[in-house]
Amino acid sequence: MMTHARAIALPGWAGKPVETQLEGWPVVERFEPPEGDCAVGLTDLSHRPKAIVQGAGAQRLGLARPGQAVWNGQSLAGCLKPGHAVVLDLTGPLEMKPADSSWTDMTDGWVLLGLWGPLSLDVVQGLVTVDVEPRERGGALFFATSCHGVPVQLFNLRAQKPGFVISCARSHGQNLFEACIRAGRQSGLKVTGLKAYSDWLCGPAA
Amino acid sequence: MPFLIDCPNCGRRSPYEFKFGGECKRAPDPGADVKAWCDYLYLYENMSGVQDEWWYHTMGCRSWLKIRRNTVTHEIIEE
Ligand SMILES: [Zn+2]
Repeated sequence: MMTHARAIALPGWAGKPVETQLEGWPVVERFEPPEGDCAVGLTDLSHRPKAIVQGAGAQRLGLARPGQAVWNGQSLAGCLKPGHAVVLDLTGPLEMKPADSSWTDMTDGWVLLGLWGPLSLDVVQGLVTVDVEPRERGGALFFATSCHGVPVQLFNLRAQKPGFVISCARSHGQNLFEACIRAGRQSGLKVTGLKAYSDWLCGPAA
Repeated sequence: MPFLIDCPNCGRRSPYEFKFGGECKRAPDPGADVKAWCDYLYLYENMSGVQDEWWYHTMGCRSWLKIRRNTVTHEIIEE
């Protein structure tokens, strides 16, 4: 099994990370002391499978127009432009095998951050200049845009609770992470482990 | 740059998301002489007024698009 290095250094004020390994990825399960309720949570999800899909594979995702996204409770697919899509798997098995040759695995190439919680929209809107919550459009949304000059892929899940995921090249991951922290400082942003994120996304485990 | 660019894929975006690709020029025919190719590669109109330009949406959909812009006022002219 390949062992990966974590792309992002965590700030000391987040607490003491309780770490584990998932399929060779070092991940933070939770922090000590516990994170508690979050107005905005910031979670490193870089170990999750990610892909760019082109051509026939993109057409099979059923995305009609650029910016449209689909969230099926397991993965997110967003249309970059006709015939090009971005897929992020948030809850499925970690070994996402590319369906065919139209898939390019970006799991190692991109970092992925979850920004979630009641004030997450304020924080995201402080990071990018596009309107990420346009009233005239329904459903999940996908944006390819920039954050401090770094190209980013951004999804607004538009699930029952406000939540976003933002992705960029791994080489810029630390910068994006710190930009999120700065943008969230006034909103009480907390850095969390995976447990807090999955409790938010899927409900607390029984 | 006091203008926005309407990307057909991404919507209205800051020009800082794009790379300027230069004025639209017609390439010489394949059999043209070296001088024609040199002129094509290195000479520009540097229009003070309305011109057609290439822009590449580097930080968006990664597509080339053509826009018509007034280089004096930055007004984008709908075709
Ligand atoms: Zn675009």
